[in-house]
Amino acid sequence: MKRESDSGIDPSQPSPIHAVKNCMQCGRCSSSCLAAFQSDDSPRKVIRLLQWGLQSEAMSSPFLRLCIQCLKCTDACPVSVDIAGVIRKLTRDHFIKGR
Amino acid sequence: MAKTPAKTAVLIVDSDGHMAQGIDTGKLTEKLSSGKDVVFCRILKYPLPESQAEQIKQELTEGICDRILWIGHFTGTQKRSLTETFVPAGLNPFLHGWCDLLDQGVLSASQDRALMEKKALTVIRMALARTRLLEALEPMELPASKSVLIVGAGVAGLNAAETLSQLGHKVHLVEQKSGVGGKVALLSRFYPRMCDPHCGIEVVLNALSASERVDIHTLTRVVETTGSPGNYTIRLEKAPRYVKTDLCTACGECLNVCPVEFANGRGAIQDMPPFNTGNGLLKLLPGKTRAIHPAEPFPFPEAFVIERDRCPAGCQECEKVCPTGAIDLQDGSVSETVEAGAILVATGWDPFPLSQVTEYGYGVNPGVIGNLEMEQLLATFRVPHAPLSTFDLNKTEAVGFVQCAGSRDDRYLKYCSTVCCSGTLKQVMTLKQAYPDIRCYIFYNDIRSTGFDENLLRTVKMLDGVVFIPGFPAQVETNRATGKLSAVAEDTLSGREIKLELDLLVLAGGMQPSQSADQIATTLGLPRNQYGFFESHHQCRPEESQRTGIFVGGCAREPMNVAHSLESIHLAAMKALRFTMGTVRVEPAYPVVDKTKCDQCKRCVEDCPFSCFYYDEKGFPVPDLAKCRQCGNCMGVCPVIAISKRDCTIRQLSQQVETMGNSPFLDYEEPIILSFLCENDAAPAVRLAMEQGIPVPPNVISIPVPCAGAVNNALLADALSLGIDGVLIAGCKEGHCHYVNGDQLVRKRSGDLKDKLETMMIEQERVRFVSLEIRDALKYADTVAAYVADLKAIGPNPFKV
Repeated sequence: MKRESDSGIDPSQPSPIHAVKNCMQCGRCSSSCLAAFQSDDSPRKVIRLLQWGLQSEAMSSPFLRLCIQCLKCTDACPVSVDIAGVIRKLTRDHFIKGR
Repeated sequence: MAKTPAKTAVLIVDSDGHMAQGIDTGKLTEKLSSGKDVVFCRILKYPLPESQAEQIKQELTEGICDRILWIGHFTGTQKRSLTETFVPAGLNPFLHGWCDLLDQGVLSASQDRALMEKKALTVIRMALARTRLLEALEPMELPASKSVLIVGAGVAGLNAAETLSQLGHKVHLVEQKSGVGGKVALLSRFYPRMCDPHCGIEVVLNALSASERVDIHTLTRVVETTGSPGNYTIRLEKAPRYVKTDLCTACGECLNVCPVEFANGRGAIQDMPPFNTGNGLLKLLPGKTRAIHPAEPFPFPEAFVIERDRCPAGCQECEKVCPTGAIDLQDGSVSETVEAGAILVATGWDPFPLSQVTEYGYGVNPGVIGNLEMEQLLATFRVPHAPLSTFDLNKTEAVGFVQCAGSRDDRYLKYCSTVCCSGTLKQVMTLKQAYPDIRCYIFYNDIRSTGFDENLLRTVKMLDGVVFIPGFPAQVETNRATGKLSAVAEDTLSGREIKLELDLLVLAGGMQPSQSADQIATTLGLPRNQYGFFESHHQCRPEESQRTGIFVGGCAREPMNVAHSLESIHLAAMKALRFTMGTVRVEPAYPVVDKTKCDQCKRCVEDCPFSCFYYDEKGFPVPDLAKCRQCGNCMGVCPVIAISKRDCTIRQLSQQVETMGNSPFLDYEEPIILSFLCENDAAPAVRLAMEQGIPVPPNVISIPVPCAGAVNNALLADALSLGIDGVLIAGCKEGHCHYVNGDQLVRKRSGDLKDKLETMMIEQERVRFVSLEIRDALKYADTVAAYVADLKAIGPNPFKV
């Protein structure tokens, strides 16, 4: 994968999941999440990685293993991003890829 | 001239017997009947029974009484109804005196009855003293012009001109540039509908050209204004156009022969001329203009204009080729005088010079341009014959947008220009529509697309290849090899570094007051706020300029979008109508200068918040009645008490003070306080306190004044020398005064008085100032209670008998 900087952010990469573009990074998902601050990542950060097109990095986020799909994040989102759904998809993709 | 003594009818209105519970109204009537200048005293009910009203009317027509003092508690509606009842009997509305016992705390049931009766008598005597001096007053009608002068033919000025001409007014629209349209003519699109702004301008212009009532003066400046609201005489100076507007057909023959070519940004260059390195728009849009060219920014009037300073000496090519003989190279400037009843200022805005914002290398990096320049670039791929850009959008991969470039920044503009966020979203949308593959990066710290502009944000967010980055790039450099810009920034949301390669970086520069605002401010004498915009009372009177008859709209007032600009100029136009209807009505409460007392010290002239004084032929200050807002600050400042508002004269006030000093209602040890209440805020606050039954110490008696600034130091000195223990002045909170700064003026003056009191061995604390907002009832009660306690501690006034 072509990288333009060491940070891993490749600005030319399109966002894989259309709905995350609407996210305004307000952090309500993280503040409503039971697992958000148990690891270095939070739902908001995962969504931000996706906004930058960093899908594989998002898939390997330690946060994904902690998510219990309580759907509180989806419920809290003011711009109707199904965050729990996005995380579910990432976890599944990660699982498939791992196999 | 000997005056006949006043014949006052004293009418006590006690509708529900409430007053009789608190005080002995029978005894009161008896006492008052024998009062000076009182012809009779009766107890009535509200509404007045027909028979009693008729009887009083008869007594008025027979001349038994010639004024009425009402005692009781009255709402505004009741006052108006009672006043109107006696108009048919020939009683002037200003010959009613009002003594509101509730406002003075006399009707409060919790107080001692004997004390209340004594206080009621003092209060009524004070009101009687005032009523005795009342005079019949009539409003005036001053003749006024029916035309309006509008300064600035941008979108605001043009639309106001259309509306006012439709209303039947003559409109003089003055524009400094060769064509109308202002900044809006430079835009490629209007958000949110994404239509072409030239359409909006064209529609108005069609209406204006068809109207015989609108004169558009281009290349014109306002150089002098004399007269007053309703009757301004304005001298205009027209710079030469060198092309006769009535003959030029805009055929363009001259363009083929004109030997001069120069790059022209059409006013969209966001830079100051000396720093204009040509790296911005001029490089992107290297289109050339001839010395003779269509009017700018919008080609109306259709006649061309010659930039004579660019002509080579002796060149007459255009003159030779012009088929209609419209060219007049010997044209000179012309002076013209017009009349107007009111002036609308719509001088608009100028882009903040981006060369001052050094971070992004505007003017150094060729790919860094301003947002107004971007508008021009976006117009090029739509508009035929637009100057071709060297910048190929087909090869463009990424465009960055930096919001707040030079705005909301302590070093540059400290305010938000309100339109740049939506403007950028609009530019991204326009760009992505034509070139869907171009990636856009928007650096911001807040996206302020307010109201329905949120939809713009949502739409843009959902576009592919658009990323919003909270934070700003620190280094923007041009890569010599590729010619692209490289920008480094932090994505604050993920905490990572991002390096972007951009073809173009668009700086959303802010709006500052137009350069012509300087000259207009000087010519019209308009004060400006700390940012250079015209401002009066921002919330309640946004359209005012602090100069009566001159109103402000559009971006001359503050940064705003086109829709708000139209709203604001129409508000201004609406307010201007008062002075453009043929007559100006002046309410009778205006101030009068007593020339036998005036020593021409000019303090009234200086302190008038609306600068309404002029000098008569003998050098006396005279208030211009059309400009006067009747706040009474001149009356307050006059050191020789020569100025009086006609409905609230200094004599009426001093008589009330004197009566209060001479009729003590409390024991010697109990301090008595006189409070002057600003009618706008403090008086309603006090009334609220009384209506709510909030306990206010009985020691205070209040006198309402039109503005705290109308309280003259002489009254304070009078009060203290008559043995009144303390004077409380209740005005507005700083910055809230509806007359701009009345509270500040009286604070300053009473501060000066305090020094004088010191030398008279009177404690400074005997004059106190309090700011009350309209619902500060509790604060008033607390203030009075604290003041009573303080005055008790100081001891009685040495002048007290």
